[in-house]
Amino acid sequence: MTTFGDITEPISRTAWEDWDEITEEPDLPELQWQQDVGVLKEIEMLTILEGKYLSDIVATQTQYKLEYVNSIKEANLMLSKSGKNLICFIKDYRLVLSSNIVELLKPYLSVSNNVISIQTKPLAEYQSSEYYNQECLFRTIHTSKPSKFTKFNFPKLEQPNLISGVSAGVISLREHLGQSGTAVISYIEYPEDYQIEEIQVLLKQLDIIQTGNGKPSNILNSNLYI
Amino acid sequence: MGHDIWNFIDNSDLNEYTLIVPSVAVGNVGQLSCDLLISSLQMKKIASVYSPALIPVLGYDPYNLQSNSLSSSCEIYKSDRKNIVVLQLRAPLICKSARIFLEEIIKRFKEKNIKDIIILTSSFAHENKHISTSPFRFVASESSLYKKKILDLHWIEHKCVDSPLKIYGGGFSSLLYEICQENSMPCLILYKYCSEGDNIPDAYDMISHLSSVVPLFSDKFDLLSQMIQPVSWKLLFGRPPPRDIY
Repeated sequence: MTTFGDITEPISRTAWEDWDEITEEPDLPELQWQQDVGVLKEIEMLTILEGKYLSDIVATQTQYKLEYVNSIKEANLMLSKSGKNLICFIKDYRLVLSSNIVELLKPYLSVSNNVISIQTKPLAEYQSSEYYNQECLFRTIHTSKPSKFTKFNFPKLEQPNLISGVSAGVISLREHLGQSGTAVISYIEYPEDYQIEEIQVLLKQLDIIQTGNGKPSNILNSNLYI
Repeated sequence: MGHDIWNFIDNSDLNEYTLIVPSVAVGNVGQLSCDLLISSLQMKKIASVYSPALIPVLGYDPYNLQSNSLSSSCEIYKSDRKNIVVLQLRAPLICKSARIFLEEIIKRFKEKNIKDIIILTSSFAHENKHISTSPFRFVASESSLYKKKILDLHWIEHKCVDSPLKIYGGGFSSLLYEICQENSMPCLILYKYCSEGDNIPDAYDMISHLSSVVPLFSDKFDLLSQMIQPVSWKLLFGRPPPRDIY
């Protein structure tokens, strides 16, 4: 709510820094791993799951045990191990920290044979001249070097749609280093629906979840009388 | 910065070239203008830049819908015919790392022998104290190559109230100008007072203003007819309205 005469910046700019009033005090927190990264061995696959939705789905799979590897507290990032593969969960981080986060992930990224990032976005954000009657759309971005996931049958992300943040940084860095990588973007109509079959199938294909019955607890499915 | 930020496809010398850099500013006018320039002059991508100083963004080539080539936060395009190079930015710079990144740009392009730099930017419309005058202002360094032309055209100079130079809403333009001065690189800032909204007309204005000092288009034809919008601008303001509402 603003009053008459107030100058309001559009929402798209609120994540940005104000260049007109740069202060000496750094506004951004210093990010660091909780544990020393050390010398890393080859990683078969590094999966980056970006956003609360995907973290919640995996969190409900209590039978699926993941071993804690490392974390960056200030960025809500946790790295877990599953066999030879690593899974990185990241949610609710500040966009201006994304390139810093990618720099910290770099040691893991450079020794991974395959890298895939998955994120969900609201369907309303997908810009296309075509009409879709689906509740979930998958789009992909592949690096120039073909990856293991190039075989995924999802269409490529149409221009002018872009991705930003950690997923974008991870695939950009892999491209820059001449390595392969794939970003999968899932545009969903109902972000509160945790039973979207297509996403469950994708996560099962990647061996991240085993069953698709999990549903995170919230106030609506609690047995409270409200 | 831990690794080489540059990935050049074409490593040729850029002797006698002008580098055009957009500053991420009000209405993204500088970036839209560079997009319009790249598309109209069918400029060729010569490098991509990966730097932690930039917020990462990623998509496919915005100038060719059929292309499978990636497009990221920072890329460099060249026009051999016009002797210009554009460093296109698609994401904001992070304040903390900006100086190191911009110094690296000047250092690299100095090694490539470019002759000068033009910074395209914008400022808040409410900062314009003389609304009946042209919405364009300029700042030119002592060694700027366009001073005589600008004088002939009666362009209005930016009124330096603050020291160092400050263009409100103009992003990193004043910092880059300062770095150019420190490195004795001839530099011109051109900016337009504008507001957020549909800033495509501002981009057209900016390019036509710029082309009065830098020969970008042919004099034989109408300027507007020579400007080609990038194909990716088609859906800049979202999808068409749903058919169900009619």
